[in-house]
Amino acid sequence: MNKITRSQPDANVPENLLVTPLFALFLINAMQVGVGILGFESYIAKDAGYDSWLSILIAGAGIHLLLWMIYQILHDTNGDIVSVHREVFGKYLGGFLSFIFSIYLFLLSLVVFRTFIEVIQVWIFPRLQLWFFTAVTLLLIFYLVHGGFRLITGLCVISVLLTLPLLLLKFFPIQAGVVTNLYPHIDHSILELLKAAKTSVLGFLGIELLFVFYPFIKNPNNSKKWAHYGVFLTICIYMVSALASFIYFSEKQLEQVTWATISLWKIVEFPFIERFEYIGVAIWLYVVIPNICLALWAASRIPKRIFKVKQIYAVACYCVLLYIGSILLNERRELEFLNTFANWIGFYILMYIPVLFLLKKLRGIRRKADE
Amino acid sequence: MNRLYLLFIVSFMLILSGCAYSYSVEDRNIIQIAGYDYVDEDRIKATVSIPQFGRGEKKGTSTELTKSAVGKSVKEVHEGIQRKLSKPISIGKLELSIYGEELARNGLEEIIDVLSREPEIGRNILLAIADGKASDIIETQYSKREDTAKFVTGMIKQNTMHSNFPDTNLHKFLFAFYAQGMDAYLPLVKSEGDDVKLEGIAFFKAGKFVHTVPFDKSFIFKSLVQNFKKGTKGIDFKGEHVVLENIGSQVTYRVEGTRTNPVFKINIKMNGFVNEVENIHLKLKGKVVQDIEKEFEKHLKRESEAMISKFQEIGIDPLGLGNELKNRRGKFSKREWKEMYPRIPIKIKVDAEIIESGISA
Repeated sequence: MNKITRSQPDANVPENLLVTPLFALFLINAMQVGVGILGFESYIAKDAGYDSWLSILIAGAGIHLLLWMIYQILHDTNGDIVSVHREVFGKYLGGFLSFIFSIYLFLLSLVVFRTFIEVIQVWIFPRLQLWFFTAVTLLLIFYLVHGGFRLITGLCVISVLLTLPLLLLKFFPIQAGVVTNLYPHIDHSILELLKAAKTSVLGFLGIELLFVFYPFIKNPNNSKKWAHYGVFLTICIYMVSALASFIYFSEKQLEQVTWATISLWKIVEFPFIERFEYIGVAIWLYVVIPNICLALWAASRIPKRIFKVKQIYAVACYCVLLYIGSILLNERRELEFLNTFANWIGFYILMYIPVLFLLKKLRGIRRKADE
Repeated sequence: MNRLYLLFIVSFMLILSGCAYSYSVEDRNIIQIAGYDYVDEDRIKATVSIPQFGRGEKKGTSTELTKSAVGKSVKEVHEGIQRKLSKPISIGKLELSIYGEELARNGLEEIIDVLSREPEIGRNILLAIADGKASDIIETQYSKREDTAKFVTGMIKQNTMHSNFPDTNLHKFLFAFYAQGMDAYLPLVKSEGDDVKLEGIAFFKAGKFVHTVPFDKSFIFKSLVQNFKKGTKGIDFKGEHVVLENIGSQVTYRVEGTRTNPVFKINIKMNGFVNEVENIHLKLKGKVVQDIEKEFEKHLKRESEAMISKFQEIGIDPLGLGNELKNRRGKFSKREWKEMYPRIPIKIKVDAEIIESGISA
């Protein structure tokens, strides 16, 4: 702690640790596209059937709005969530709320990690030694998070660029499917569409990470458009995935399918590879690792800011918790519960953003009035 | 320094991938064809054929081993087969699954569940119904150069790709099986002595095999359900027999009327060559060609109407008209559809065009 940072209460990051605004696109997109996309189709179709592509658009529009609010909040404070909370709620309540946010981010990484291991167990290695595989992967994750924010940003770039070509494979299911399934006849009520939109918002969780890495972006103002492009890219990816699944499966059939996107890879056939899903799941590790790393990094950054502990201790602590958590959760039922629970919290965190936005604006107005 | 240690550990973890247990082809019994037959109310009999790869240099066919077992469920039957084998079985390369007629008539739901649940099985595998017993088809060897699995699969595939037989596979079956307002169909295969042939199309009503259409009518069914570019169809024209070769056929469905009172219009547009005429003196010029087109249209319309009214009579919907109505009019109720399906007007319009008539006039 040198004198300069002490005089400025907000997170001040040395210039050599910053990233250029462009990377906001990759950071946001990599965080949003996780394991949810592997099976979200049947969840959104539960409420609004094959009209739920509309819900994705509604949810996407909402996410753009929230992203705008996050930028507004952070721009006024010029810090991260910890400084915002301290400013709005004071030291103790603000610190408490920030800590809850940190726990939520940890929960997010646990969900992604454990769900991906479940995918491996079901699709490839049913007799996976859970304790061992988890330990090895966590060591890797610990190493990467230890590398710092810039390294994780690099991982996110790799993850986005590596997985975008996978979208081309949707050609196979579209070719084999029934396109009239998408006939635009909307026969679900607005309420049902909104319900499905609520479910699809969960796929777009991840923009709240901006609350933590905002001070790490150089000229954050310029990053706005890139962050919005990132969200837009996510919406496109989700849209393409949903439409391809709706074309390929019949409505009742989709209800039977747990991981629609992986099932779509099943019919991809090349002369040199008969089952693409094995490759697909393996490539997906590149999506999951940056996702977990970013969430863990953000989760451990908050305790550092509140309690002034070294970040590495927080990372190590969370890694141990992650290990224990993923070993203890063993059944599909428990995982389902964990997913629902994390989604529930995630939804309320998103709902919390407008509240914070209003509080912040009100404060600003009052301060102006005082002057 | 600390980081260097970590890097060291992480890079050593890469080597761990070598610890995974790997299987070699010689150590597994790879099943490519499996057949299931009805034994009694709750037991089925499975028959599989396993190619035995020789160790010698000799090329050509491998010998095959046929094993069967009886049990209550598919997994148990596979276990029963495993009891009789020296190596574990792998079903990841399964290409064709055949069901005996009696089993299919009693309903395939339980067996289909295994196929849709098992991640090892591809979605493009073929399913077929045996006219008779599935084990008869698997136990016979049809060719000296190919094993049974390759032969039977090849037979179905080439007839689908280059001839009159409609597209079928596991995914299409599951799609239709789960869809509301759509019924599935599969190839019907028959073994006769040393031969095996495609007998026709087997139609399902909610998982139960209820109806067949013979192979010579499959051209008509295919032109009703999909666009295709091959296949031949012979018709009678003024006492002669004329054969038309399809070079491109397109089918479009239209729904008119309301949700409760729909009218379906099926348009078939077909381009073809005439490539065989019984009477060599019949000159294929001018009006004659038009007459043949007319006759062909009439024939196709008549036959497909007859086929569809038979479907309506039995109450099966292999064309997926219910699904079409659901997509376009919404608020679909399966029960309502079942009631109204037999009475729904389905209008067929065929537009045939003979483009060429071969290289001699």
